[in-house]
Amino acid sequence: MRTTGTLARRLAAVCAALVLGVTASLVPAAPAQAEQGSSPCQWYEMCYWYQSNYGGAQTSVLWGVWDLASPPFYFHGGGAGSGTQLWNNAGSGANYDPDYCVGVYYSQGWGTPALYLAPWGYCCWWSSTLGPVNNNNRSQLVYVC
Amino acid sequence: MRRPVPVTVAMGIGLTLLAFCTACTSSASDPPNSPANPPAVTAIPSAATVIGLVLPLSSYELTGAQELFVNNATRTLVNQCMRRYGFAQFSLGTGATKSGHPDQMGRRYGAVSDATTAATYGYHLTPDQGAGLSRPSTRPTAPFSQAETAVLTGTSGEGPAPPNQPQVGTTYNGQAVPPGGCFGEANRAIGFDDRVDGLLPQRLAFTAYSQSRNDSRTKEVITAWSACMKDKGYHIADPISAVSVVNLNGPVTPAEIQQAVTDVACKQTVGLIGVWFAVESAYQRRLIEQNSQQLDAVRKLLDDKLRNAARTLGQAAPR
Repeated sequence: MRTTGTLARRLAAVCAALVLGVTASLVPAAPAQAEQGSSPCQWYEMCYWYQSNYGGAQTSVLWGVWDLASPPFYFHGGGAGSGTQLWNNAGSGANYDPDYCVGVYYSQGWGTPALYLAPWGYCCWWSSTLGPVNNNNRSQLVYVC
Repeated sequence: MRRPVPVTVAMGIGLTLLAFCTACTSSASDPPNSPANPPAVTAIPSAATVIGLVLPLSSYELTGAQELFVNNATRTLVNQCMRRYGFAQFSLGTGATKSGHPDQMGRRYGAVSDATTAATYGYHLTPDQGAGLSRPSTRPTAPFSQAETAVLTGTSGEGPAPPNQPQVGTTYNGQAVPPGGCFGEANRAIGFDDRVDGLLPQRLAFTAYSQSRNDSRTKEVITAWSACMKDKGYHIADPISAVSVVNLNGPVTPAEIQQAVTDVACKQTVGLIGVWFAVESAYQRRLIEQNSQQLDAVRKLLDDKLRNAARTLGQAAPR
């Protein structure tokens, strides 16, 4: 069962964003994942595969990252593309966050245009090719939707 | 040392004329999407900011408020479905009432195109844009039990799993689970048609953006912007890469704000926003004509979703 604690944490995150208001964009974001991408993907992560149709090596990115190239994220877990940088090499992706949408952007710093994916389970939370940002994924942003 | 930039002002005026004329030089024998056959630009707005500008393909996508409305309706249906299977306390959703969908224009022609935003936030996201960055310091625990995941998705419940997992006929406590689980049921009720390419507008928007960025009229105005920035002491080739010299993981700095303010001022001086927007709009209109049938199907599906969501929630859909 979905725990109250989990929901409370997520609500707290949203409330914090609202309460912090202006300061939200003025303070440093939490450091990117120490492992810079991991496999297998877990809940709440944006999951990328090296190949289209969810094939080859895998990596995951939690929350927003303004530049996936620096410091670099890598594909893991064996299979085609393992050890390759995530930037400009992703062939497919799926959003494993059940609450938030994710935007995958062509440019660093969330530069439009982008591919937007729904929360996990909703139409449409995956892309077998990443469409416009296939091999052109430089940043990602998580947002309320 | 600051120097005046009369050349760039003149270039801005010249580029306005150029933008009209370049399209007149193409040959009727050139393929429609050939670089030698750029679409005609009928009007160039004198835009000092991207705020208020709307691109043609936006008619084929939900607004942020509409997206949240449809997702809330889906959540309602999923919750109802889960209760049929005995998950009485199950509840999807964050409780958020305001969409955080990024403004598609805000960072389109470089990370900042508005003087007020530049003076306050530099190249950083505004609070509305950056809500999703206020993340918890620890990874949240799994949101669903295996049994819940199984009923939610119609799978064995070992989630999260890749989206191409085969759907299996499952039962829960002797009750048949619908194909795709409660999410499958809810998505079908709101509107799902696998014959409709819902990502087509996003792909076409990217194509038009790429075409416009490589269009000679846009290149001219980007060159003029770069010259203007150089006059102010910044050596940056194009407005898209301007953000690369700042650290968005750190706090906004006075130097960043100074650069962002100069960035916007140069865009205004050379008319970059108006020219690029007009050129991109022209490419989008051409792609809309070439893909009208598929786009009409997308628009119909979106209208179906809004209508079904309104019925589910008992509220009028946002416009």
